[in-house]
Amino acid sequence: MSTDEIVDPTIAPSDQFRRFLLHIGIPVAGVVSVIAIIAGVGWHSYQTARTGALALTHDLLVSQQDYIAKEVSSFLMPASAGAIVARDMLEHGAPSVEQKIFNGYSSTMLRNVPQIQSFYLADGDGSFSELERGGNNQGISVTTLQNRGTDKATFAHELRDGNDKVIKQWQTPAGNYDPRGHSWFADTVKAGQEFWTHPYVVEVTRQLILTSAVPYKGADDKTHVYAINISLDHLNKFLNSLKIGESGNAILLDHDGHVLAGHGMEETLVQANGDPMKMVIDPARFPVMTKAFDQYRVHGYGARTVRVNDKNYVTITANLPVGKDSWVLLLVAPEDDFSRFAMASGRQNLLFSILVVLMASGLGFMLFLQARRSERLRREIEQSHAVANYESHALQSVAAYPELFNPEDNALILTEALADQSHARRAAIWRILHDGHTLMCIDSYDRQQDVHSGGFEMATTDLKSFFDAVSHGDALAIASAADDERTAAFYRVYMRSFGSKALFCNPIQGATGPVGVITLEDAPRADMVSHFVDMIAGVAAARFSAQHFTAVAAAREELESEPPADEEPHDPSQGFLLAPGALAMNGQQAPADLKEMNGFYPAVAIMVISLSDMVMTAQNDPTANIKLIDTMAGLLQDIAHQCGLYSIRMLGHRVVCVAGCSHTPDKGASYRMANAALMMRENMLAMLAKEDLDPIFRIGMDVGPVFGGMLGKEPQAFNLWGDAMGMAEMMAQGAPDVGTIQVTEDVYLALRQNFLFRERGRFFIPGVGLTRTYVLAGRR
Amino acid sequence: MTANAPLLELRDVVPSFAETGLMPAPYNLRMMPGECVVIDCRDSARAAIFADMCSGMVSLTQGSIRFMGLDWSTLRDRQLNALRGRIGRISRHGSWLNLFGTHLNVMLPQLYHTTDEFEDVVEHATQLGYRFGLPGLPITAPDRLSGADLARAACVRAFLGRPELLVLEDISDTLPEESVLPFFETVTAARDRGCGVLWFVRSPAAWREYRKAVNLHMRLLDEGLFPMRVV
Repeated sequence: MSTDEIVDPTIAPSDQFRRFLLHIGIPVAGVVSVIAIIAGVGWHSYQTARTGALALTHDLLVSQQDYIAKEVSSFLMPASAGAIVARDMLEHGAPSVEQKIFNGYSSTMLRNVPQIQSFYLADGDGSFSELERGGNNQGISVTTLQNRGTDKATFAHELRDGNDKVIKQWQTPAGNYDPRGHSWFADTVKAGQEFWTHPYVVEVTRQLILTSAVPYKGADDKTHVYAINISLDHLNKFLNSLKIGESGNAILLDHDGHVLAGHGMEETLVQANGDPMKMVIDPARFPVMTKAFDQYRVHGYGARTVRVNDKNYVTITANLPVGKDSWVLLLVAPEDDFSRFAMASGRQNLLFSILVVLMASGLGFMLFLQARRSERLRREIEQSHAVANYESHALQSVAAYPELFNPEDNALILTEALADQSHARRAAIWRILHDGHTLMCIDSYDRQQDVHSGGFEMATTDLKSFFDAVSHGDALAIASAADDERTAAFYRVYMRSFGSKALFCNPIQGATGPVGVITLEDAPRADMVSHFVDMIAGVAAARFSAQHFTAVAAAREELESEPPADEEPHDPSQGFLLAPGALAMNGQQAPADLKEMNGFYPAVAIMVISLSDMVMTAQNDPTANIKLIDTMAGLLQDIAHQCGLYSIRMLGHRVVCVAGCSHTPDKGASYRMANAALMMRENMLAMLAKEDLDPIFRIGMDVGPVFGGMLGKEPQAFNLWGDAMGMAEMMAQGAPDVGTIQVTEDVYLALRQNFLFRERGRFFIPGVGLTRTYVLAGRR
Repeated sequence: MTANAPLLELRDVVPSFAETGLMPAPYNLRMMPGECVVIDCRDSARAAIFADMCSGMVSLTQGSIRFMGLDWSTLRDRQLNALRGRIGRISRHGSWLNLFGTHLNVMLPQLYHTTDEFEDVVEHATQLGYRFGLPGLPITAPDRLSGADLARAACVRAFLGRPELLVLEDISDTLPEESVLPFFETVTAARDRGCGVLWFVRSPAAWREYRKAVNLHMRLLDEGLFPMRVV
C-alpha cells in the first residue's frame, strides 16, 4: 500500500466508529439508568416520608389544639362559673350582707384563681364596689364608690390582710364615675344574662382585661351586676409558652380578626395604641398568620398548608366557644419543623446515592476501558495474524528466489524483504570481512527510492563501540542512534546523510561468532518481525560461508586495477556548423576576438531543432544516415548564411541556432530566426520527402536574455546559457507534432505582425509560471 | 494483499445485462502484479463498460471481482473510492471536466486520494508531460486543447502517482506517434514496480511494438471474453 494514501481501503472505519459508540454507550447508559433509578427511589421515599410526617403533624396539631382549647376553657371557666355562683349567692342573700358576701366570696376567689384580676359589683342606682389584689399581691384591696352623683364623690379604698383585717384606708376622688355608663354593666343589663365583654385596656394597669358579668335582681328589686375581670396577660403568657414544633406559634382571635392573646401580642398592642378594636394581625409582620386567617375566613375551620416566601407552613384553625360567642384559635408552624427528618433522611439517601453513582460510574469507566482494551487486543491479534500471513508469503518469495544461495548473485530480495517487512526506510546487510577490522555493506536498499546500493566500508578504528556491540552478538533497538554512544559514530558516518534516526541492528551469526550485521533504519515494525530478521540473518550467514573470496580482496583488486586511459576526443570545430560571429550582424562585422563576446546578451533568439531518435536509429544503413545528415547540415548552413544567423551548432540529436547575440538588443534577430526556421522546415521537409522519409524533426524557438562566452583553455569552447536556451529546447521537445515549430509567448509577441501563429494553449512550467505557446505556421 | 495473490481477478463474473449490455456469460480473468493483459475489442463502448466493470462500477448478478484481494461488492463507498484511487485510467471518451483547467483534471485524483505535496504532484505531472510531448502542465480547459494534447494529458493523468493498476482504453488514433514510445516506456516502468496493466486495443497495430512484453492477449466479443494465443 502506498503510505501517502488518505484512506486505506483495507480498513472499514465506520465499523470502528460504531464499536466505539457501543463501548462508550453501554457504560454511559448503565450509569444513567442507575442514576435515574436512584433518583426515582429517593424521590418516592422522600415524598412518602414527607406525606407521613405531615399527616403526623396534623394529628399532633389537632391534639395540641384540643389541649389549648381545654386550657383556654379552663382559663375562662372560673370567671364564667364564679360569676354564676356569686350571682346566686348575692341574689338570694339579704341586702345587708350583700357587701359581706361579695367581699368574702371574691377575696376567696382572688386568692385561689390567679388569672382573676378583680371583681365588680354595681347596681342600677350607681353603687359600685371593686375588689382586687393589693399592691405587690399583698392582701386584698376593696374600693367603694361614695357620695356618688355629687361633687364629693370619692373612691374609698381599704387594704385588708389575709384575715380580713383592715390595714390601710384612703380615699381618691371619683370624679363623675358611674358604673352604669360602662359596657360591662350596660350590655349585661341589656343582655339579661351572662355577658362577656370585648377585651379592653385598663388605663391604670395598662393590662388587657376581659370581663364576664351576670345580672341579677336583688331583694330590693334593684338590678345588680356582678362582674369578674380576667387578665389576658395570663392567657397570653400561656399561649406564648406553648411549643408547637420547633418554631410554631399560637394566637387567639375573635371572628373579626382582633387579636386576643398569643404570638406578637405586645407588638400588636403597641401598634394599636391600646385600642382593642385596632388590634388586628399586621400582614407585613405576620404574613403567615394573615394568610392562614384569610384561608379560615374563606374555608372555615380545619388544617391547611399555606405557602409563604417559598416555604410551606402547616396551619390549623379551631373554634373556642366563649359564652355565647366563640373565638378562633390559630396554630402556625413551618412544615420543615416536622418534615425535617424526612429531608435529613433524603439528604442521607442522596449521599448514599452519590456514592452508588460514583461506584457505578467507576465501574462503567472500567467497563469502557476493558472494552477498549479488548478491542485493541483484538486488533493486535488481527494485525499479528495479518503480519504472520504476510511474513509467510514474504518468506515464501525469498525462498522461491532461485539464486538465493549463489554467492555470485547479489540476492537483492533479502534487503527488499527486510525493508518491506519492518517498514524500514533503509535496510542493509553488512559483513565483517575476514581481517576482522572492516565492516562492508553487501547490499543496502532504500525503500522510498526503490534503489539498491552497497560497497561502503567502515574500519574498526572509526567505529569501535559499534563494532563491539555488533561483535557481542546481541540485537540492538535504538530510538535515537545519534544519542547512543554505541551507534553515534555509525550514525555520523552512515545515517546522518540519509536523514534516518532510529536504528535496529541484528547480528548475523556464523559458525565462529558474528560474521555480519543487518541494520534497519527508522523501522517501526522491527521488533515485531525480529524472528523474520533472524531468518534472513541465517540466510545471509549461509551466503557468506558459501563465498570463496573476500570482499576485501575483491575491493583491493578493483582499486589496484589501472583505470583505462581516456580517449582524447578531438572536435576541430566544437560542433559548430556556423562558427559564432562568422557572419556580419546588422551590417557590422563581428569582433574578431571571441573573448570580447563574453558576458550578458539581453535579447537573443534561439532555435533548437530536435531530431527524432526513433526514426534516425531505424535507418539501418549508417552511410545513408551520414549522407542524409550531411546534406541537412549543408542545408542549414546555407539558410544560416541567407538569414544572417550568429551560429549553428550540432549537439547530438539537436541543432542549436543563435541569432542576435549582441550586448545591445537586436530587434531583427527573432525575425531572421523565424524566417530561418520556416526555410529550414520547408527545405528539410522537401529533402526528407525526396528520401521517402517521414518528418523526423521538431523545432522550438524562444527569445530572451542569455549569458555565455569562451570557456576553458585552448581549444576554447563557446557556449550560451540562460532561460531562453532552456525554453527553446523545451519548445522543441514539446512541439505538438513532428515538423512543427513551437514558439514561446515572447516570440509570438515580437513577431505576430509578420508571421502567422496558431495558439496551442496555456501551460504551467515550473520556474517560469503560466505561459502560452504558439505554433509558427507561416509568413503573413 | 499477499505477495503471490492476483492483482485483479474476475471469477465467473456475470454482469447485469440491463445495466451494461454485456453478454451475461461468465467472465474470467486473472492478472498478477506486473502483468500486462491486452484485450482486443473493436467496440470501444463495450471495452469502456468492461473497464468500468473491472473498476467495480458495474453491478454483477453473479461472481466476484477482486482487486488487490478486496472484493468490490463488499466495500463501502469510502473504501471503494480509496481503492479506485489506486487505478490509473485512460478513458477513450475523455471524462474531462471543462469547468476546470486540464491541469486540475490531471492532478485531481492524486490530490484527492493522497497526502502528496501539491508541489510534488505538479512536478511529477510536469515531468510526465515533458515525456509525452507537452511543453508544461496544460492550464487551458480540456475542450480547448487539441486531440493530440488531450491524449497526452490523458496519459499523464493515468500514469500520475503510483497506480497499482492501469486500465488503458485505446487512444492510439489520437496519441501522436512520437508519444507511443514514451507510452511504452512508462507502461514498462509501471509494470516493473508491480503495477498491472489492462490494455484495451481496437487493432493489432496499436500494440504491435509492445507485443513481446504482453503476458496475456484476450478478445472481448459479443459472446464474452476469450483468451487468444500469446505470441
